[in-house]
Amino acid sequence: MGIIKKFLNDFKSSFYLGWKIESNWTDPFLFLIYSLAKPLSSAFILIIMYIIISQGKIQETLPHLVIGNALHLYTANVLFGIAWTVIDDREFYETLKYVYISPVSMFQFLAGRGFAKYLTTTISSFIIIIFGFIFLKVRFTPVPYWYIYLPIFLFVGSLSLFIIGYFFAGINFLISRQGWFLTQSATGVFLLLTGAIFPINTFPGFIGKIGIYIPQTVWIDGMRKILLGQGWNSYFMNMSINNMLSLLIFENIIYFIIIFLFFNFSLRIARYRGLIDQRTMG
Amino acid sequence: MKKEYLIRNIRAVFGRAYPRVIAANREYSWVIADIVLPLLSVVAYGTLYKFLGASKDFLGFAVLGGAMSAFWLNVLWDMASQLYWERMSGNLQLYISSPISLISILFGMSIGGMFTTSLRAAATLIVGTLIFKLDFSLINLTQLILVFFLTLSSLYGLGMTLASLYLIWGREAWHLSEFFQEPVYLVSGMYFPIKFLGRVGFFSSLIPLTIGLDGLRQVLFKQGATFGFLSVNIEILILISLTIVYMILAVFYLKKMEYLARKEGKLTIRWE
Repeated sequence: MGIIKKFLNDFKSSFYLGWKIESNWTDPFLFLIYSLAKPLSSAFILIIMYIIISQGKIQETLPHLVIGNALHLYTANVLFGIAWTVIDDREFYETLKYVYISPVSMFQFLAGRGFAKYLTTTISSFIIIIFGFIFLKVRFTPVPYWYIYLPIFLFVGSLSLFIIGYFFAGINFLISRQGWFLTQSATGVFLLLTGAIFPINTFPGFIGKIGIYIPQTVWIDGMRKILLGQGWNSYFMNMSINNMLSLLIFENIIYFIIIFLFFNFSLRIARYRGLIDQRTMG
Repeated sequence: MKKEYLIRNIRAVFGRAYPRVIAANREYSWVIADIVLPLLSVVAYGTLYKFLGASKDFLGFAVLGGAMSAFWLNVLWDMASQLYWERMSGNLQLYISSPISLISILFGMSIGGMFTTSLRAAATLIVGTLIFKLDFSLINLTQLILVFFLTLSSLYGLGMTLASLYLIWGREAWHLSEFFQEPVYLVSGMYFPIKFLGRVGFFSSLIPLTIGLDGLRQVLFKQGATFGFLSVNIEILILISLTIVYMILAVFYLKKMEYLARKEGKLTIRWE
């Protein structure tokens, strides 16, 4: 079997498994409601907060808030989805050890499991953005050739989500039940630092600059620029979309190299210390 | 009711509260998680308010909401889901076969959960207050104490009711708890005054947190009354009613659940 065919086969199997775990406890309609209720509610909390303070006037910050919040859902769900798979399969289903000894690469396996989360998140994000355009009068003022940039940016940005997800999955191989807390906190920290709901320079000093080095910040702001014509964070305000894309790709490559090495290292350490089948959650 | 039975049940209450207080504080990662996770949301929502140019009282509304969210999470994950977890771990059959009432078990969980979560919520409130330099202006201490404790009693009453329902609903328990998180934050006005949701507020008043949070905001912040949903005295009456109703429902559903579980032989089944 060719390498690509094997990769796709493994990916398909792990995606199917992830999808079944996510959705097989109920019928598809109920599953859809459950999947949408949580992200849509958190989006509407922010929108209502905005509308209260702006006294119903839709100003230029709302579109940025809508797009940023919709895209942060990806960070929260995909990152958590990949990292949580390690704990879920190890502690609850007790199947991680079987995956480990099977001829499937853990890297591909986690990609497939994360992709199941990615799909459900896409529906939520799409609904939030469409809702923004229709009901909140967010104006669609895209950059020229947006139809080319949009899928490219979405794809490259999505890769960054998976890459960061591997980092937390790598950590979860090494630690016990605290992995749940670590991953949940990470999504909260990303909300603060990536400028999803307010510009990153709202924070003073170096905290406000950390976001520049996080791919999700570039991704979210680039998507804003593509859909709304301009970004939100002052650091990228005058940067062309081509330069932002280059920066995103560059950050992805750097992160990928470091995280790939870390992931393999932690997997090896986990095996060496006998952590692959540990149970620490009762 | 025999004296011995009463003493046994009181001991069961303390016995079940004990792990909630002691064990919950023994695992440091949980202590940190319970404080840090709500705090991250509080900082995010507070910073958004600040960025939008809201008054300090709104930052306070968000901080108070974040602190109170700890109770809702505790009710969902450590009360409502608890009988389901107990069945999964094999304890439920022991509870039912022991010479005590299941109400004592749930009551013990509530007492322990309230105490532990109060410490966590206080930590979130203190850190949030320091970060955003909040100004509290206590309007009425008696109302504050009444609203706070009635909110907790009705909230944990709801948790006791849900515990039985979750057990009947089976393995959807996990998803139900997930489902009841953010949507409840939205409809109960966790981070903004419920007044702005209009009529939705009347429906979401069935969740004690909605009314409780509104009452607390009114007695703790200058602008609280301006954005209040109902007068604090009416809210106190509603909270008393909710406490009574949820306690009655808890007893009713607990008996129903026990009967159904015995009848269908589900007391010992895992993963269902």
